Amino acid sequence: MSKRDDYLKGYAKAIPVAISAAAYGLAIGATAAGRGVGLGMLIAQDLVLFAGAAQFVIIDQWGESMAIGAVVAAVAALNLRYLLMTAALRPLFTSRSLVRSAPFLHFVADENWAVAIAEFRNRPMTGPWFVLGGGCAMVTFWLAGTIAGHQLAAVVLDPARYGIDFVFTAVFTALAVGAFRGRSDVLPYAVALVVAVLSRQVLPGSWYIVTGGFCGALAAALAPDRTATKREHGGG
Amino acid sequence: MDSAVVSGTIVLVLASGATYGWRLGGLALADRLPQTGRARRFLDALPGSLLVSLAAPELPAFGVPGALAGLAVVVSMKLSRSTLLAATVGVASIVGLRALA
Repeated sequence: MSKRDDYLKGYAKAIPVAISAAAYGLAIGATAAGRGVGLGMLIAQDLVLFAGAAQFVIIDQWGESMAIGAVVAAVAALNLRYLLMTAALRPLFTSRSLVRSAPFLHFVADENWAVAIAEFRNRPMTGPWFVLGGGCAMVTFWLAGTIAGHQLAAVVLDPARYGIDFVFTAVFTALAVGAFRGRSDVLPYAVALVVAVLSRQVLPGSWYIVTGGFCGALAAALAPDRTATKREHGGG
Repeated sequence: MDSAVVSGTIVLVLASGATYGWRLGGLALADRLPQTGRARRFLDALPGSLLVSLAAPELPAFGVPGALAGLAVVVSMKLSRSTLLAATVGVASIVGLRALA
């Protein structure tokens, strides 16, 4: 497939998850309006930071007395997961040097990352262009959702009423089920679940994502290799 | 300019830099890891572990309706393999269950 085909396919395949991101964006936009974050600043966050949960943290702390260092540290901790996520994307970027891959990496968001990982399991492809397509779908819907939320704050300020507060959880539960590879994933999934749920109780911020993801993968690495992985691609 | 906007802009620039740094760092780090054996199994298991860690800790806050709606998501995802459909079933479930409660 050509780059253009992979870009378009990446865009199309990310639309379902982008719609759910837009629903989550409604809640963020409404919260931003409630906290006095201007529309311009919200759009700047959408484009420059492009990370929903991190934007939520900044918006939540918004105000004249915002502790800059603490908020930046919280976002850095929250987004540490991207270190692990782009590490997992490495097989999709094999044809490119790090420097030539760099511009594409800004477009890695949780949702289109998961879509790209799932797609790569089914067929070889030019990963960076697929990721870029998915990222552009995410940006489009993310902007639409957050802007609509900001403008319609009064309507969506009670997110529980329409289940908007549950959208993120529902989407990521579905993505986790979709990424399940069978027996070899039982151990990492179980370890990640227990560690993440417990970490959430005792660790500040979003460290639980990092501890859960790391410990789950570590369990898989340390377990005896019985499966001789069935899903090799190319010369992997 | 409003001082909240000044602080917010500084936070946005620094936080975005850190976030992009992680994104770039992960790809660079993966290059340095061996592509076979334990390191490979670590990277292969990473996506699923991260997804579980993103989703599972959110569920307890939603109580019994959340547990049931979460179960509905798992079942409908298994049956349909459609993320959008499964998520829609989950959201509809929690709205319905809350209405009953």
